[in-house]
Amino acid sequence: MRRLLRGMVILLLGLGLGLGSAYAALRLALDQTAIHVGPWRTPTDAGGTGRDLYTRAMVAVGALLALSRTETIYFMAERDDTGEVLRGDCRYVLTGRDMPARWWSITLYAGDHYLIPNDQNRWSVNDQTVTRDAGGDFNLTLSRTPVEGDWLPTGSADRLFLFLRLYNPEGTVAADPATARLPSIKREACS
Amino acid sequence: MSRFFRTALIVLAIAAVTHVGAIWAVPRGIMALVIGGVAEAAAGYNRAYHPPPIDDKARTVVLPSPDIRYSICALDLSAGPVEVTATPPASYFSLSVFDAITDNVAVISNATTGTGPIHLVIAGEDTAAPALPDDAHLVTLPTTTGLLLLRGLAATPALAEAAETARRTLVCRPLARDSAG
Repeated sequence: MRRLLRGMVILLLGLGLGLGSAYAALRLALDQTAIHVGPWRTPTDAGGTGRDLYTRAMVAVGALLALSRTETIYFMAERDDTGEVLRGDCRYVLTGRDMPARWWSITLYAGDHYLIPNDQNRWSVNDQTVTRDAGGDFNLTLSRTPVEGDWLPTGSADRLFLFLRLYNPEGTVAADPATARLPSIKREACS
Repeated sequence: MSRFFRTALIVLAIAAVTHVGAIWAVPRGIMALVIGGVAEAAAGYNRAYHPPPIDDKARTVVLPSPDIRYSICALDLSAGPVEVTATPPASYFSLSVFDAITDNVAVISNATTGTGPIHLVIAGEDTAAPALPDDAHLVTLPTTTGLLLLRGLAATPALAEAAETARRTLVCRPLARDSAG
């Protein structure tokens, strides 16, 4: 009986250590292998066939059915320009300009990577709908309460997750995503 | 070797096998669930399914884009190759093929094909090369099952209407043996 108990403890310890380290490795995989552009980061190839074991598992959990880099480059942000985690009770302003792609979009998700319920049914802006100033810049506000101009509601989300899609990327960005000029993410206030 | 080190080695060996096994199994398990779910929604494999436009209730797959209309087919090549056709609008439109471990093995968009119909034949690696219908692109899938995902740009109401019309043209079906032309 004692040997059986000892065997069970060893098995559970091994399983726990294995599963825990696998979870930690997936959390670390993106940080270690991603290309960073300001607060944004992108896997070297989200959907391609040459991905390593960890990238494949990480994308399966966090961005299933992602396309290969030649078709689409995905940038994601969970932090603002200063490195602070994006919070649903804060107001942020993204400032940027058109990005080199056949079309692009910026979508706001909750921390669970699903769209945030809101009465206005606003979840994204894209190159067709965004408002640009005379210099070509756009400003996109994320907040709980409505603001004038381009605005995405943070609803009752606790954490926020921004996902920027460049479909049919063009120019140097297609070959080297690190050269992309992406929107800044500035925190203005928190409630 | 002391009993402590022997025990520690056994724990580490179990942990290593579990670690690699979990990382290996995650994409396969998730994809099996999604492929099965799509086949159920479409009432079978190799049939087109048109889910509702994306909103906050879309929770089958993470990070759905509200700027895209999606249609999807669960692929099963166990009985032979599958033929896929769709007619794109002028705006962005693509057909992408994923194998059972989540790899995007092929993507064809109207950036390269223009506004004419897109025609794919998807065959298994172990299948003899099928006779291709005219203008068809051959896609080799390294696994028996997979997914075909259609994306149509729906960034404005007008584009959404065009994408909606275009995605309804999607047909997935077993390749007819006498279809070469």
